[in-house]
Amino acid sequence: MTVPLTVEFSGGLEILFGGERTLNITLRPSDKQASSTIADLVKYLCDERMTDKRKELFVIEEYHVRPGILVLINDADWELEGEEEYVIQSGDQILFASTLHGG
Amino acid sequence: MSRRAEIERQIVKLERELSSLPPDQDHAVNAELSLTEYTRYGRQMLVRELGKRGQILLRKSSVLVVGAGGLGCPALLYLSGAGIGKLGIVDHDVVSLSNLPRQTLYSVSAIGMLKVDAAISELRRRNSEIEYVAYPFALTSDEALRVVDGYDVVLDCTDTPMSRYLLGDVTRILNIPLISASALRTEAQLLVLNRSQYASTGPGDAPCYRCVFPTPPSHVDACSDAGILGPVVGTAGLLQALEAIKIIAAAAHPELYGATPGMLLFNSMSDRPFRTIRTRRRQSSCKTCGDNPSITKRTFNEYNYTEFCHISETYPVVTSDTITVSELESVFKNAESDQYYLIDVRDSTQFEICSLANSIHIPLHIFLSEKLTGEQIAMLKDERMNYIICRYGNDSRTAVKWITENLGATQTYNVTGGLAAWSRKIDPEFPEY
Ligand SMILES: [Zn+2]
Repeated sequence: MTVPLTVEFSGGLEILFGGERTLNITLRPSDKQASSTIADLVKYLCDERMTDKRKELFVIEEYHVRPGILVLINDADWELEGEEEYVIQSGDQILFASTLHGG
Repeated sequence: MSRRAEIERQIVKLERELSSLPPDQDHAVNAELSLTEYTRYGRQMLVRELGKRGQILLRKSSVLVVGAGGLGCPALLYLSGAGIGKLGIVDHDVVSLSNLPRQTLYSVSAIGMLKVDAAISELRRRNSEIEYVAYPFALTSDEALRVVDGYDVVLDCTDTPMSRYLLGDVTRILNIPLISASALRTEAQLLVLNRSQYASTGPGDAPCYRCVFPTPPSHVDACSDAGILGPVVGTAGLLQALEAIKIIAAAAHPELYGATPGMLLFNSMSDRPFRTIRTRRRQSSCKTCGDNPSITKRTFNEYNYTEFCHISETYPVVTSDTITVSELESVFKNAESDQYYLIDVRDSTQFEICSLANSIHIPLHIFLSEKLTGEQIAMLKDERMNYIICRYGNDSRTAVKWITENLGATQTYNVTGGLAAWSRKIDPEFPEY
């Protein structure tokens, strides 16, 4: 089953994805899985959609979102939804926001 | 005695006399407002959510603003305007010309002054009824508890992760609401911490800064590198002032106040510029407010914030393939122009601001996203020298590394210190921005 979703970037992360603030994506689960999780999405974004090769600005240790990036699932902190394990639902809106420090 | 000296002597005499007088009965006993206060604050007292009782609470309260920059200036302007009784200001920095577009308390004549002094003198001209306290130093764990203790609300208007964690911990230890904001480029973020409800007196299940950000960021962009629009950071500063006023005044009309917004993301370029985010609650694993906290009032000043916030070096260490701006100048003078290329790797926005006349523009992202044209690759690989330049020498170092790794042996050199060094050491007419 394919899952359409919207991915948004802010706080400068859009620079890593060709300057696109919003991506409309259709995720296709791999053969072994029935569904896609945030972890699958992050790997897909790194492998397929990232235009800048500096992966360390988005992920650490292969495919874990680096500290300093907030992941928001439908406007809620992903901690409330199960973080990487969250199973993506059709129409979800996932925002990756780099935390800002300027003042 | 000159007229001037005579007046100054009279001022000193009168100020001494004034300070020996007890406060007006009107103020101290009844906590009623003076006639000028009714006039000055009348418009905001008409607002039901504030009212006269809220105004009296504002006058009794104290707010500490840490950082008197792009966030702190507009916040202070409105907190002072609203009649907060006591305002503390922490900042170690002096005013510079590049502050003026967004740090709204400073004028050209304040350049070189301590920000705390310039801010207080400007605020006093607008509202002298308020007590102002200057802390002209950078907040460290040695003084933080002493400085912050006793304030009713704290505004984090600083600009580094280290100061943000420090303030997050100290306010949580002292049970003081913290309103944290930050801004960069066209975006800003606002976080109300240590309180979930405006009218509550304790944190309840509200997170502290460390609950929301348990691990420090591995990469940080600064305003001086990435840029900032004045009204964007100003908006965030005003929202901080507003949240502080709401937290203080809520006790007068608790039935009119609900939950704090938690976190607000402001993206001025989005078709949905304001978004409220549901943040996580207090974390039982938090080092400051969890079930087994390791950062407490007693251990606080032993905690090493510098080490904790160590930002990993994203860029490779300098190698031998470098050239200084002085060497570059002698290349320009002595070499024929067909013996080298000068390649500027800054983004288009910066390249448009200013560039060296003989430079070729290839932004860094063109290298990193592997979008070089065949022509550009051939150019980089031919026998001419490649001198790579950017603003400070960091992006150009990344480009040199990319070229060396991907195009093999080329004669490619990084210009250390970049165009900033060029302005300072070679050509003072070349703009610094
Ligand atoms: Zn906490």
